Amino acid sequence: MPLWPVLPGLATSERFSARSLILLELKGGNDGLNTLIPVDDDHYYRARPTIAIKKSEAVLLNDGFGMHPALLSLKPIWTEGDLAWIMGLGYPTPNRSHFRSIEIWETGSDASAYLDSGWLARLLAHLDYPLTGISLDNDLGPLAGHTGSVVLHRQKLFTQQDKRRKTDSPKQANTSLKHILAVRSRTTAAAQLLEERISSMNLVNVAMPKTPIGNQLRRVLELQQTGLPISVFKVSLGSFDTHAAQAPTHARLLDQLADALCEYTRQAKRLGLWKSSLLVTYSEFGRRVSENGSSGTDHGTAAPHLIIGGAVRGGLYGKHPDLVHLNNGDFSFTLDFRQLYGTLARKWLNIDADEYSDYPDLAVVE
Amino acid sequence: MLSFEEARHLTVRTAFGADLSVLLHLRNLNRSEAVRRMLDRNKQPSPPPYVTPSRVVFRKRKNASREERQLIRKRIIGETNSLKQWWWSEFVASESPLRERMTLFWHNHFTSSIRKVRSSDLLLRQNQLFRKHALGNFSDLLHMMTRDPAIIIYLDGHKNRKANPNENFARELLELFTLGHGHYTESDVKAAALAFTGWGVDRKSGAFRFSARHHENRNVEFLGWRIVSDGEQVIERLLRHPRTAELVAEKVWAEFVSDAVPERTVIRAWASRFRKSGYLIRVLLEDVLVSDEFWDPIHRGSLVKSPVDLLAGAFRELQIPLSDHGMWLSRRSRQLGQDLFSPPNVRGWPGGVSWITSQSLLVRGSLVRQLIRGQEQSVWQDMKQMGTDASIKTIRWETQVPLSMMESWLLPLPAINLHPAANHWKLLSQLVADPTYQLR
Repeated sequence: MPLWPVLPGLATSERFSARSLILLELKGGNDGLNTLIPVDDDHYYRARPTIAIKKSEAVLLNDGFGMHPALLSLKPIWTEGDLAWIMGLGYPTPNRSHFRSIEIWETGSDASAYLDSGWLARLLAHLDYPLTGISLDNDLGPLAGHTGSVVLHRQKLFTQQDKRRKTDSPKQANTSLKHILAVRSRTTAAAQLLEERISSMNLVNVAMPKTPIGNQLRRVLELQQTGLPISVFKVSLGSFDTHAAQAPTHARLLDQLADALCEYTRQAKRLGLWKSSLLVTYSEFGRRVSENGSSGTDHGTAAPHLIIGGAVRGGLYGKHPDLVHLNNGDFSFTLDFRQLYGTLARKWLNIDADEYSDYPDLAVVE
Repeated sequence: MLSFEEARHLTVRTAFGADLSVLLHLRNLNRSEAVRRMLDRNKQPSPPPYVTPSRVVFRKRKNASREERQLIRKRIIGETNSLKQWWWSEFVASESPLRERMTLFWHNHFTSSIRKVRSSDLLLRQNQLFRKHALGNFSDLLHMMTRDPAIIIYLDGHKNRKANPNENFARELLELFTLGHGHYTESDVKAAALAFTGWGVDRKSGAFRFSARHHENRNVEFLGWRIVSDGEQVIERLLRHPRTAELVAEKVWAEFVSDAVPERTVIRAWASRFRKSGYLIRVLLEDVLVSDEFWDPIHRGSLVKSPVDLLAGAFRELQIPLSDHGMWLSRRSRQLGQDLFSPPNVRGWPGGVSWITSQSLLVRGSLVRQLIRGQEQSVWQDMKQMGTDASIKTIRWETQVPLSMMESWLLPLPAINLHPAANHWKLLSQLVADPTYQLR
């Protein structure tokens, strides 16, 4: 097994690996319209007679927008200029199927194209450092197909690996077997790295809210503390698929989100990680403009997403989708999500990718 | 007559694990006899545990205080755990394993989750429907699902009303249960939703209830036909569409044959016979299990074991008695990503290589090692107790399978890392630690 700490390519990885990108999937299709609210727009209240958020209850930002009351604890981060909202994110000919649409977002493809790899897997393909990406969720998502990424829940189990292993793959291995062998060798390499690093340092105890997202972010902070060049983390929260009785579920989830993000911010600052951390949400789609008959909303299209981090230029970006001229009851997107990906690639991860050359950068990252 | 290897293949694909009690039995038969034997087994399952009737739960919940709701919730969780343990006992001990495999198959096709349905009674009834019709008639099953309270609640069907149609059920009906993506339009979804308005659940009893008042009785065009706006006609139309049988055939391929993409001609042939038989599931399964594709050596070990395959398989292979391990099995399976009665989303468990991540691979390995350690201990105790009593017949795997055959018994492919081992238990430890043990 090669010893990773002294590897020729590491100079490149050190240049940006000090920075972490944390992707937070809001599973199920978050209702963006009730998350970042056009509080002065009459059409909003007319479209949602029972579930609209009243202006008096919203957490007011500026320019006629406010946030869902459950996101109150994010207001100080907004005031400090570390929170940005990117509005109207979507793509042409949107798909309203959960699986297909999240696939489009995670592979960064056109609606009509079918790509096999996650957008970050392609972006980071030149990096085969065993811990380039870590998912705290059940799958790799945007990292799918990346040979230097692993799914990791509990660290101890991970590092107690049996390292006496052969890694050769037989010539006639079928795809299932090949997959298992590849995962196994990645796991072994990653476990070795983590073990070596953790045994040589004292990790600071981090207290986070005891919610699923709180736990995931706690582990992210622990891993960030190791100082290993882990470029990407993936976490998730859900389910936001609020077809019926949306209000209590949405409030509960947004509350967990805000709580966890707030505490993450505090801890990251304490550990000196804030300026090198960037957290971005994404979701398969937003939801329909009008509420349905069950005090809920059905699958929609464009939605806003948030970015927080010490290097963020806070504010509202993009244009809110037109509430009047809808497409079959849905928003028309105003910002292709590939533009966000291009910005993250070039401005945060410092990687120039041909894939996003047609998309200009947003000024959201310093 | 089937070779040992062929009997093994049929066993791991239709039962759970390389179950010796099945394998040795099939070895004396030819292919079609063996397949028919697996299809014919239909011994009654053990009776399920008691569950509180849905009408009691719904009635109590209606005007309950917070504390009362908590109590109801705790009771449902407890009953669901009992249901899981009961189903696990079938996975581990049933003499009709193919029927249990198909019950799980239908649970993964017509998905519902206890988390949303919140009634152990409704989930149990649905489970029993799946078991009863596991190798029955798909057309009947599909019709029944449109009236199944669990699925209706899971997909918000009961909120689908004339004044405000809710498209969730209709969308999943078209996308996941019948045609599949790309074979219908958004207006078909809307039309189907309208046709199913009023098909709901009685909030007092939890039983299916059609409400004419909430039903939009309007003719709409569906899949290019003009129909009266009625759910049954939607189902009839879907059953007449060739894609429906193809979707089921594709899923059966993925469950029984290989993770490779099937030839379209094969799927079409199977689907056509399936549909022409009037949607008899047994006909489709028999076609698949006697097909050249199923027996082609190229597909050996091409399927990743699901958590149920892995755990129930290990119990059967090692002849571990179920005793009180139901809860352990249930928890571990959940840890590995397969929580019975609680699939992750309406698409179900995607299966295949998605079962294997760096995390799950570690846990799968350590769990089987744990089982072996525990089993080795208890078997040793049993052997000591039995002493040299020759009248006590042991059908233990250690006496049935010679050392030289252990690799071909437990693994579908040649082992990747194998070192010579002194005895059965040492060899066993190596074999289950091999990456190929994760395949079937």
